[in-house]
Amino acid sequence: MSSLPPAGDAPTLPEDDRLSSLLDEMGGGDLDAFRSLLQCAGPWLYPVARRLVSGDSVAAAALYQQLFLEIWRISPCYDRNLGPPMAWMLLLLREEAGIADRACADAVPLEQDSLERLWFGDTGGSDGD
Amino acid sequence: MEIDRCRDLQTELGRYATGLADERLSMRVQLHLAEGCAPCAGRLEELTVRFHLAALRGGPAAPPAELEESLLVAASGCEQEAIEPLVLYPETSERALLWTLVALSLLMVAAVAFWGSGQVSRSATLQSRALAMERAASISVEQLGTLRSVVRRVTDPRLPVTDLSGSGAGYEPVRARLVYDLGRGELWLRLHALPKPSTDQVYALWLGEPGEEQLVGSLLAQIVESGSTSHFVVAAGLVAPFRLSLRLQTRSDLAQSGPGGALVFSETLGSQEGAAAFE
Repeated sequence: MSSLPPAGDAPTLPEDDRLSSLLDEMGGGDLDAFRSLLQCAGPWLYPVARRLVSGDSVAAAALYQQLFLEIWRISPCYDRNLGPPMAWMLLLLREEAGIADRACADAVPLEQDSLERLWFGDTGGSDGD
Repeated sequence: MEIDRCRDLQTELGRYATGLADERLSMRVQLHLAEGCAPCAGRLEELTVRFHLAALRGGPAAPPAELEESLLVAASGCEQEAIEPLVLYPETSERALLWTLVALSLLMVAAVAFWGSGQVSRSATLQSRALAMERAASISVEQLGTLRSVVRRVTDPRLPVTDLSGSGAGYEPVRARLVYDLGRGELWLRLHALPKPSTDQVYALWLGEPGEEQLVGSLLAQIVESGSTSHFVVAAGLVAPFRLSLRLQTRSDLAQSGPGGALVFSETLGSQEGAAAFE
């Protein structure tokens, strides 16, 4: 994931290796690793959760907690060979939000807008700010 | 279930990367990737990354601070579970995969059977050809026997083998290999680089000293062309040492005036060693 960072001066994503290591350590029951993951991945996942619930802060907090508890619970089965760790966590977020099957009208959803619609729906998922 | 090539899936990888592929498409993609297609695997990873970056495009935003502590408390009381690993890409059901494998196996069996039936018919054709050849062979068993005896004698290591080269003017490139059997009065001659004679000319083989030469035979045009071995029988017997010469003559000369024309080679053969070796 971090191999394609956002353009410009935008904050860079946490390194894949760092996230994978934390997930591996969490799989062994390491709560410190969980705290570190919350600190480096949480700020990236929280706004996504918030947009997924159309900016509802309460619902966003609930979804965020639900997501990280699930990440903690199933971290023993995390396998870095299955894909980038951020993508794995985002997949869990889609599962938790119940949008894993969200369809897009575009036949080949490779454009940025259509990709975002896959995440946040036709409204673009206003975060309410 | 068809086997896809890269271009068949070019426009479908996006659906797969974004989780929109149905079970059939998922299976097609997975089968294709299972074949070890590195370009498609790379493209899929790129698409997956792009898909997830789309969600993160808004950038980071700190969650409420109290969430971290409450999560740590909740996690400390939550039992971890080693479940089946979650995969990023849509998976086919085991049953569908099983049926696909069964179908592919049946297809393979059918292909082998089809190939096998082709082999059976090919085998039958070969068998009938072999029978025909056997029949033909049985007709000429006698000829075969003769040929075998000739071959056996020609390849007999005890028979002297002499290599000759052209000695007549213009015949220097000519090479000849001579095998002779003094006891049977037979000789075999194989020639290379012998120029093709005109229609009224012939290569004639003469035996004996000058003035006492006897015609052994002439070379067939086909033999000159193909460089095959020619077999000659010397009726009067072959007594060592003997002189052998090959000449290019007109047919009329050959009939009327004995040895003449152009000399290809002339050699005295049948040394004491050769004769002794044979005897």
